[in-house]
Formats: sequence, structure tokens, C-alpha cells
Amino acid sequence: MSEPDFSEKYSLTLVRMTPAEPATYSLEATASLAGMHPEMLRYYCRLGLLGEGRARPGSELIFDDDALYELRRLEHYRRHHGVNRKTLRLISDLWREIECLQTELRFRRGP
Amino acid sequence: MAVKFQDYYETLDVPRAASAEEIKQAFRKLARLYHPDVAKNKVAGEAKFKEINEAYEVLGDAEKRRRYDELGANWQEGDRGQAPPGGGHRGWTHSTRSESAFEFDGTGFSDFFESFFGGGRDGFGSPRPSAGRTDNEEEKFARQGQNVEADLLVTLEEALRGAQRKVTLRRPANNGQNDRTDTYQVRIPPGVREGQRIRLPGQGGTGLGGGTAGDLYLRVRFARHPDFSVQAADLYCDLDLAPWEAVLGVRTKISTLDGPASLRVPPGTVAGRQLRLRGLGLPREGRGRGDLYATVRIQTPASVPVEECGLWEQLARTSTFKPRSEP
Repeated sequence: MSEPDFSEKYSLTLVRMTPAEPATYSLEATASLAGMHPEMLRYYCRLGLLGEGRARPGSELIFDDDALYELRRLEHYRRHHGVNRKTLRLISDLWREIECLQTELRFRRGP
Repeated sequence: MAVKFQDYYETLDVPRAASAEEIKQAFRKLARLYHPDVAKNKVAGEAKFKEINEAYEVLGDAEKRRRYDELGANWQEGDRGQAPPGGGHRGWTHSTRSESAFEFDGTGFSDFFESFFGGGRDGFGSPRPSAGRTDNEEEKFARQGQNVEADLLVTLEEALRGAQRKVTLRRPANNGQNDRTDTYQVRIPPGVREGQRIRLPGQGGTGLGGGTAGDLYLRVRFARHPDFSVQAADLYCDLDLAPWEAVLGVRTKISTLDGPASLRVPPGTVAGRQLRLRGLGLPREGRGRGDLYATVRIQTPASVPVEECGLWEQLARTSTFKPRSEP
């Protein structure tokens, strides 16, 4: 890739590295990042809003970037679009189903 | 900067009326030529490979192709990518004016693609928000900056071995500040999944009134490979065999992500059979690797030389094989 063209108006160029390993977060950290109470997050997990692959069961729940993204998206819909939890469940189920179908379709089309 | 129209038909070198099959063939031909692993000139090859992939991402999907054709008919030079009247799709509503748009470089997709075909966009993670709108309107005064999302093209080889990619993001001028361009070395971890998001905390839009900055999410999109399709950690490819190879068995070589591998086709192999090459797929979540499946396709010659004709005729007379039940 070519170097940035400094004749254009750039005020600052920073280089940041992303971590080598995908990030994971504890339940408390995830709740805080999503701006919600940990109990609420537990409740979301019990409702199955985050999908099984996201919140890995075990002695404690672990969340990844995808889980955090989904959580924030759900919270956004709840707060700003007045979506209730029952509908959130429906929305997240539909999202997941669409993702599965898209993956399947992509595979069926072949290389 | 107006979004530049991409002529995907030209990229794949197919006529506008090309059938889905022709488009697929054109893609596979070009992808074999420019795949970063085989291209003679790596840098030029990679750039070309990305273009081909983007074009196929749109033209290889009937719905996206229809939208693209519609868009092309309404496109005018200097167009800022506004919705054609009556276009009800969400994706159309994003303004692409340079003053407000985030511009990415190095993700593997053009601005044009991001604007119109960057899938799954909704108000929450739009990379091209309308001026002044934030997505996470927290409370009255402190507003969290918006979350910014873009697709990141990842080849299967990169998903297998991991890679590092330089991505630049140019932010629009905001609150009297000039444009700002940040460069990120994005590490693609080995075993990354299609659709997985890589989060760069605090690298989204700036917050207002003391609100925290939004996050930047890069969503992994696997580049189409000319030979392999992906299902979870398993890879699938076609293995073309001559009829006698399938009947008598053969030892052959096939290409894998790890280089050529030897494969024994057992005698009596039927069309559609999947031969498994253990551990030659993508990394599995947890540990180990998925498998590579070669699906057998029996190929027959479209025409045969006279001297072979006799042999086929002899086979036709003596064979007891019945491929179908006749009424």
C-alpha cells in the first residue's frame, strides 16, 4: 500500500496495533462496556439473546467482541426504538437465522 | 470526494447480459490468475484479486446484481450516491458526502461497495452516518460517539495462518477540528471466522459533551477462493475424474491450502462421493483443524477420437452396468 499523501490535509497520523489474540471479557466487564447492569446481562443470557456460541458456559460467562457487538445493538434497539425484551428475542432469533441462511447460501453457490 | 462508480462487469470482463454461470467461470478464471498465493507480482496481484472478489461478491449474488444494475442505470458522474427515487432499501439512506463520511483504505473493499453493498447495515453501525447524527444517543448531553463498522476482506490463507493488515480510517472534520487519519495494524488471528468482528475500542466516532468515543468494528468477510468453499472449519472442493479413474481407482494430487497433497481415489468411486483429507481445513474453534472434502465429479469427453470410439463401443456392448431403471 502506498504511503499517505501528505499534500492532503492530515493533522495526525497514528499507528495502533490490535491485539494478537481475539479479546474476551468477563461478565462484569461486558456489562460495563455495554452500559448495563450485570444482572441484566445474566438475564439476557438466560433468555438466549446472545446465542450459545457467544457466551461460553462454564464456571463463569466469557464474552467476545461479537457478543459485545450484539449486546450493544440489542441495547440500542431497546433504548432508542422502544423494543421490548420479548421482541428483542424475536429480533435476535431472526438475525441468527438470517446469518445461518446466508452462510448456507454462500456455501451452496460454491467457489 | 464523491463515491466512484465501479464497473464490475468490466472487472470480470463479462458482458452485461452474462449468465450466472458465465460470471462464475469468469471469476474463477481470474481468481486463479491473481490469487495472492500464485500471482507473479504479489502487490499488483493482491490489488487485482480484491477487485475481482468485490465484483463477484455483487455480480455473483442475484439480488445484489439486480440492485447494482438498477444503480448503474441511474448513476451519473459526480453522483454522490444518493438513493434513486423510490429505492426503499436501508442502505440507500446513508449520505456519502465527504464532510461526514468515514473513509477506509486497506479493508479490501472500495468505498462504492461499502456504501451500497456493505451488508447488514442498520442505524446502529452505519459507516456513513448522516451529518450530525450519532447512533448511540446516550442521554441529553453526553453522547457516546457512533460505532463505525466496515468489512475486512480476509483470504482463506490469512484465516489459516493469521496476517497483519494496514487499515487507514479518515474521519470527517468535527467540531472545528480538521480531518484526521488514523492507521491501524490490524492483526487477523489464525482461525478467524467468517462474520467475526474485530473491535478497536474507542476508535469510532468521537463523543459529544463528554461522552465516550464509539468503537470501530471490522467484520471479517472471507474472500472467495477459486477452488474451495467453506462450511464452518471444513473446506470443500471438486475433484474431476475420468470415468475409468472413478471405476478403477487412481492416485492423484490435489491442491490444498497447505500445498499439493496426494489423494488415493479408491476403485468403485461413485460421482458425488466425498473424499476426506483430514486436518487440511481451517483452524477449528478451540483447537485442531477442520477437514478438506473433495467431491467427486465424473467428467466425460465431449468428443472422442476415432481410435477411442471403438473402445467405448466395445464397453457399451459388454457392460452390464445400468445407470437408471427404465419404465
